[in-house]
Amino acid sequence: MKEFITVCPRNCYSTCTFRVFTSEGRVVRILPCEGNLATPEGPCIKGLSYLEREYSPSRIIRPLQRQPDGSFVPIGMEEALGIIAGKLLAARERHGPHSVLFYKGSGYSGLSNDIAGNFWRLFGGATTTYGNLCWPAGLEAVRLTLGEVKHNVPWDIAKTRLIILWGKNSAETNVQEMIHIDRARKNGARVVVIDPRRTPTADKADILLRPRPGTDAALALAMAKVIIDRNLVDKEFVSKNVAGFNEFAASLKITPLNAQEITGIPAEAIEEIAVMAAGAGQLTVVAGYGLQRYTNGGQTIRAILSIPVITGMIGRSGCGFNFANLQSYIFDDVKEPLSYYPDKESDKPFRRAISMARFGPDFFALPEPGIEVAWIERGNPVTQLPGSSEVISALQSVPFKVVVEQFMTDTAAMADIILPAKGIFEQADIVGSYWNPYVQYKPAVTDPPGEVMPESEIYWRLAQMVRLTTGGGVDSSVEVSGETQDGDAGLPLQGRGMDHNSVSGIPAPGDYDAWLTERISSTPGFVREELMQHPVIPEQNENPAYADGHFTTPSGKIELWSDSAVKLWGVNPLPSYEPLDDFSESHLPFRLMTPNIASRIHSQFGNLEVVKSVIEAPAWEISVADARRLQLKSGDTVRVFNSRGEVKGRVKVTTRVRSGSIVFPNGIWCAEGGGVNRLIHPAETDMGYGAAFHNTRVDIDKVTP
Amino acid sequence: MRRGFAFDASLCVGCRACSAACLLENGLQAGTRTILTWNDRALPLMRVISLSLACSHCEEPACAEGCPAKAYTVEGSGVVIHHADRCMGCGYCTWRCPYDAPKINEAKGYIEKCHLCYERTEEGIDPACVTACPTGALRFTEQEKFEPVGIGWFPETGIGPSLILKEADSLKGPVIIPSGEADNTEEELPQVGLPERIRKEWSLILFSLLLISASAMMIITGFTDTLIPALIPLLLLTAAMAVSVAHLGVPGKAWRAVINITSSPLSQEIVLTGLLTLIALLNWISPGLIPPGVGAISALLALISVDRVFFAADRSLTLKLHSGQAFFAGIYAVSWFLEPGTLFLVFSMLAAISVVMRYRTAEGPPFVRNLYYFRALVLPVVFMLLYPESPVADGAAVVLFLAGVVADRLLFYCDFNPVNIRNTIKEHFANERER
Repeated sequence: MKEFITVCPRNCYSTCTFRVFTSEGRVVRILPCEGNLATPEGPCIKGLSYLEREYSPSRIIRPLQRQPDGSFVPIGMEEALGIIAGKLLAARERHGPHSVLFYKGSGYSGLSNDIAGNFWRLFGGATTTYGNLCWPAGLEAVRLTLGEVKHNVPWDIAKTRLIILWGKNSAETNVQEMIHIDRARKNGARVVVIDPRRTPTADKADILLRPRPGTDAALALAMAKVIIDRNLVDKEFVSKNVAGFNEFAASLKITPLNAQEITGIPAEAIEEIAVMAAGAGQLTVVAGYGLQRYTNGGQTIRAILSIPVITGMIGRSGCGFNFANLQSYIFDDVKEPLSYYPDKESDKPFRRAISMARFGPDFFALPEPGIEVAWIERGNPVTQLPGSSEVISALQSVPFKVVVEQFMTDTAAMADIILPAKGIFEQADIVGSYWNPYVQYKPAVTDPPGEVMPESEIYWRLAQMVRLTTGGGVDSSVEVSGETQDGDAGLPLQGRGMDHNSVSGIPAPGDYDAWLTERISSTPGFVREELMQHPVIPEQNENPAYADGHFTTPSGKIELWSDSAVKLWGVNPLPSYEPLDDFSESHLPFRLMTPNIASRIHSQFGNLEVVKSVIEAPAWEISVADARRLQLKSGDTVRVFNSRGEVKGRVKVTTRVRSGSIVFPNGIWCAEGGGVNRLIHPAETDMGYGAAFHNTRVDIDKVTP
Repeated sequence: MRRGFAFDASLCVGCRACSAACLLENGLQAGTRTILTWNDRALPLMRVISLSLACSHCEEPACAEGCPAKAYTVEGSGVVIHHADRCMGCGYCTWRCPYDAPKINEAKGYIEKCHLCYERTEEGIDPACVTACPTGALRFTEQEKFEPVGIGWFPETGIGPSLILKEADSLKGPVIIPSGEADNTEEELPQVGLPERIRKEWSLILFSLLLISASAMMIITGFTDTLIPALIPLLLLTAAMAVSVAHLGVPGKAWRAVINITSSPLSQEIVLTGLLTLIALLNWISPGLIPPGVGAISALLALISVDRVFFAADRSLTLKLHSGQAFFAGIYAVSWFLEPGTLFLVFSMLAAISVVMRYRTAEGPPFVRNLYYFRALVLPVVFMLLYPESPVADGAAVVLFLAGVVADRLLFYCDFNPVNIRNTIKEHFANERER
């Protein structure tokens, strides 16, 4: 058996390093890799399931073409790419490059993804989306306040005295963080979880506060008020590092009693936690992503962040505010959240006219040209975007759709041509993490099965077919306004007398490794040979984060008062509590929460047999009190509905959910009985162009199955 | 050095990576390594503990001792291995193991159980569940001797599980604020229909009823002058043997049932039942060849052997004093036919005492409760029916009496409660909840 060190490239905090062993061209064993101090133990259930996932009989390993009757039949890769090239050329010729929609999700992380952007740039541009479904409100809130988005290394939390996990369910979404939290607990630290749900993480806590969903900012501001009123502020830290403290202190109007009204948490408890936080000596606040998927999400994160700021918990070991740590994203010129912004000039080369959060409405509001061809990769927008019904109609209106996928997802099922996507073991790549500090090399350990080719190669072949040239830009013969040779677009490359070299930014298949090496070598911070062998913390990584007291905000200080917040987002210059927008459905009794669960990364992994055989099937979770009122019991079938539509499913009565909330995990395919996003209003968060998933209100009633 | 698992409950979040890893590595059915949860409904004011459990590779493995087919071996380092090719799928080890380790694979018919990734550990690599655990809650360990686990809800039957449990009783639940949610306790759904034991093991119940009837007849033949055609017990016993073979997961391996006659009560039961069947056959072919006393004594021994199968798995007093025991049921039935009726009176008294002592059975699910009341009522009613001395009443009395015996046998199965960690967790949890 051959052994390799590799990394999981999914959209997940942990970004686990693990060792794989191959035998006869197949990965047969996965073992932990102690070389990553953040993830020294085994991968999660999803990481283990690669043993099935990459070799699953349901994996798509040949291009599939939709037939008139809706079924798919396998076709050759050359034929598939020929058809696609023809459609791309025709669309560009008749309607310009903006008639092509390039949609990418977060299903696979790696430097190789840059090649997609290079291709579409050379193609002359495309229509793309801006914003992000996950975390931008919080990223923007941290950026506005601290300048950069970073935090201490994950294992630093073991040194803290008090951990506040605010809306973060590490046990399910970042399971290795529990190692470090457990170490802290065994060292005597206390753990407070703030979450409307009693999550498995809360089971390990000393205290669980269960506020009403979307009211966290009121709780945080009341805590800040207690800390300030009781004179528990770290004055030295604040006077040296914080801008706008006096304005902030003066703006605090929410007393613990007011907060009790808003959040449902008793005033005494709020005072107690505030005093505990201020007196901890070492406090780490870890904020999750769910609590910023609201129309007040950014302001909520700013409010929560004010607590470690005024208590001087920034820039020290065993302290901090952990939202995201982008220090390993050293290859990116523009980091999140700025990379999510729409381009200022919307016409060149990319037309970023569609907000991810409002995909449906924005799609139908597009100016000319309309979308003729859609190319979707690394994503499953039908399942993941808010407002699925419009998303589905939008995609249905596109005459020709290409989906690059490994499995027959809800989105793949709508494609005209499905191109098989590479597995994680099949191409070398570089992967960063938004939690641990490591840059990691992911080697190619096996060959792709069937006709699978890495996207880099797909793009290179397409580049030959649509005649993108080496020098960048577009071959004159296929200039947007020029004549195209639709007729021979599908011919093999050899017959066309084009050179075999890499098109700028799109390496030829044989040149991919050199391309990657060049990217690695040209980026300072580590020794390339070392990176090829184990995870590396780049030299520029700062730990503790902000220890240098340098904040890249306009004032150079931590900005509780932010002019940028007003200018960019029109929100209060100070952290504030804004009641949620209910989209005129305040009369509906339930707030819908769609959290992530341990067995999936959004819409990935749930289709695997190993996952299905050890994980309980998803259900609509409601509280015991609500179930009693509605005379529902576990196992009953319910209809969950609002003005946007309805979804049916099995109900589960549980003490883990708060009264007034209903919970269904996100990412369950329509084909698996999910499709919960049909109910979600397509709306943006207050900042960062995120999606306000959790604002949605619904009602339920019992139906016969 | 003995090999086993060490588990730190404070690190386990119940993610099930261990179960998945076991499935992927060994192809054994899901649940071979499973997560047991203390407070699985997350009742407020109470802690939640997840316990990842497979096989504890006990020093004196009850599964191996009880296995009639010798499908288990104990390797060096005390690793207990189940060999599917030697297993006939009787499921007796699932009764004998207090830790819920062996599980029947319904699709394949035979038992599957953790083998501590025996070959993998020989290579120097920890078991798949251990290397998979993302928090390091589960470890592989080698010890000279494993100390008793010493936690109330972890059953201690003296068989020496090779397991170290850490932090399993020190965890506290979170203080939940607002505590108004505390009264959010879901009522347990009432159990409807037949109890699981009766539903799943009806063939065993049928076997024992057939065996008890045949034995009673052979005892009556041996000790009284009552004439019972020899063919009847033979047919009953043949049917019993057929039923017992049919209930196996792998009937083709039924012959293995007698291999472990030295230590398996089940092997002994099968051998004695076979012997009894042979005697019944000879009685039919060649009446008088076997003295009736021999047949009667064999029948008594067979009945005792049936009870021993259960007593080995459930040592409770309830079962020891249960009037639904095969031996008791057999001789009680016999006593009906003996003159004078003193013996019948004595046995009826004993049955009544046993039934009264089991009053808690009436708190069970509806089916069990009704069965219990029926059995209790039948005892006096039979006497009342005997009083008028009318043939109709006598006929009704005999039918009711026998129905009562059958009901008691069913109750025996309902009350049969082999020590199992799933139950001890439930019981201890209920106690903690009351506190």
